[in-house]
Amino acid sequence: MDRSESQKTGRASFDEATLRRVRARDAAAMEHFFDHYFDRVYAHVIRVVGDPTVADDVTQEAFLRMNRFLDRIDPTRDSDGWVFTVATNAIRDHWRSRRRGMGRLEVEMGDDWNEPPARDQRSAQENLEQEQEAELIQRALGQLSPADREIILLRSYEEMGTEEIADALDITVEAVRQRHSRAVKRLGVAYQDLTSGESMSS
Amino acid sequence: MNQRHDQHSPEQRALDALKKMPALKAPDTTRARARQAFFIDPDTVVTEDDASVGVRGSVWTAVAAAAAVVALLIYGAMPNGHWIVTQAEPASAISIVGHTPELGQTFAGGSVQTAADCEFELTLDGIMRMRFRPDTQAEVPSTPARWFNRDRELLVEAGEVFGTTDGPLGFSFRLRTPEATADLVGTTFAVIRNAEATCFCLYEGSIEFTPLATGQAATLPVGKRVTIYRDGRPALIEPIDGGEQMKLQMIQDAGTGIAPD
Repeated sequence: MDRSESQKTGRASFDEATLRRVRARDAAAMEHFFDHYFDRVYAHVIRVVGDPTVADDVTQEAFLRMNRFLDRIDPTRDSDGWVFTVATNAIRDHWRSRRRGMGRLEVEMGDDWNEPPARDQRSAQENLEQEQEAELIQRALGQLSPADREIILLRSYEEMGTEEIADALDITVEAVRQRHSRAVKRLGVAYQDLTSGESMSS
Repeated sequence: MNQRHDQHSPEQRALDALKKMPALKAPDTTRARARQAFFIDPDTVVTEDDASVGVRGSVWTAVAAAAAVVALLIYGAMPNGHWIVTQAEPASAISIVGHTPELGQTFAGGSVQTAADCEFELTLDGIMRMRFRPDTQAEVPSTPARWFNRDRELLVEAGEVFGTTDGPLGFSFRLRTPEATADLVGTTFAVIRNAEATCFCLYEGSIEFTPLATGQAATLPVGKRVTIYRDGRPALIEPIDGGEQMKLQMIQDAGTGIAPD
């Protein structure tokens, strides 16, 4: 099951009433909220930071912050923006604390990764091709800077709006567009290089 | 929603592949930790505001860095040791503005005037010793700072000052009279000013002197004295005399330790 099937189309936006319950710290609503966002937040964090151990810490920090500031959720708006803003801040504070700036790092998907939760009924050949494609795009992402990865994942994977991203990153909407455009170009180059290399080796 | 690229462009193919990336399931331990963080009673957690923590951290880091720089500047500008009075006999015959010379006391620098029957001596421990002979009038500099503001100048208006250093000085030290200057580089020296001229004597080490009238610097050979006349006659270099040699030997033997010899 890829992301577009499991999350994009199947993602249930919380209605205003539910978000009000979350704000009020209703246990059931919070449980629902956590279950809805946990894997997405963790996947986003690890794809940006690249290190499972760091992702573990940053994700925990992100949910701790969400807990502290639940009363800041705007029930009238999509909670995705708020959740990923908190996660983005947690990532950025981690970078600041490590003083590693925006250096490149390879994203490694090590043994800590669990398998995706479920497989659809596609053929083995289709699954294999998709796994290879996923590995290539993951490697291409890993060749980008964390900042490029971040904006691509927010805009093109999580499909957040430019205004939401601008709020999250504390930059202008125009800057979001420009950064995203440049990042996508770099991703395209990296992906093409990898796919060319893959074709030649196979 | 997203910018659309050509269907076959590398960018579009990459974006298509990106959107098909599989959903990822985090390790159970990570989920458990995050869950605990999300459901913990917020009243039990004392932390800073989410939106401002990064900014505050940056501000405090900047403040700490600025404080460290200021501390280093202050430390670097602090005196590297003190002049210690190692001879003042008789003290009553020594005039020091705002200071009564007593053995062992520190001296911040300033005007020194010795009477006809007394001598005054200052020692910068391990670095330098200066002996002010009778009937001497001089302006003594403060000791050099640790890192900054390390240039110092001794102004001798009258009389004799003999000095010695413990090897090369780590700072600039200039002797000045109304007629000339001399820069010391680790040496045993004397500066003498009388009614007729300024004399620099070099017992050991190196001195470069400059008559102010000509502005032309020259190096004084070891064992020589240079006389720079007030009336403009050419400077005269000749061997140091016996009396000067003895006094220079004495100050050199005294060394630069603070214990009076």
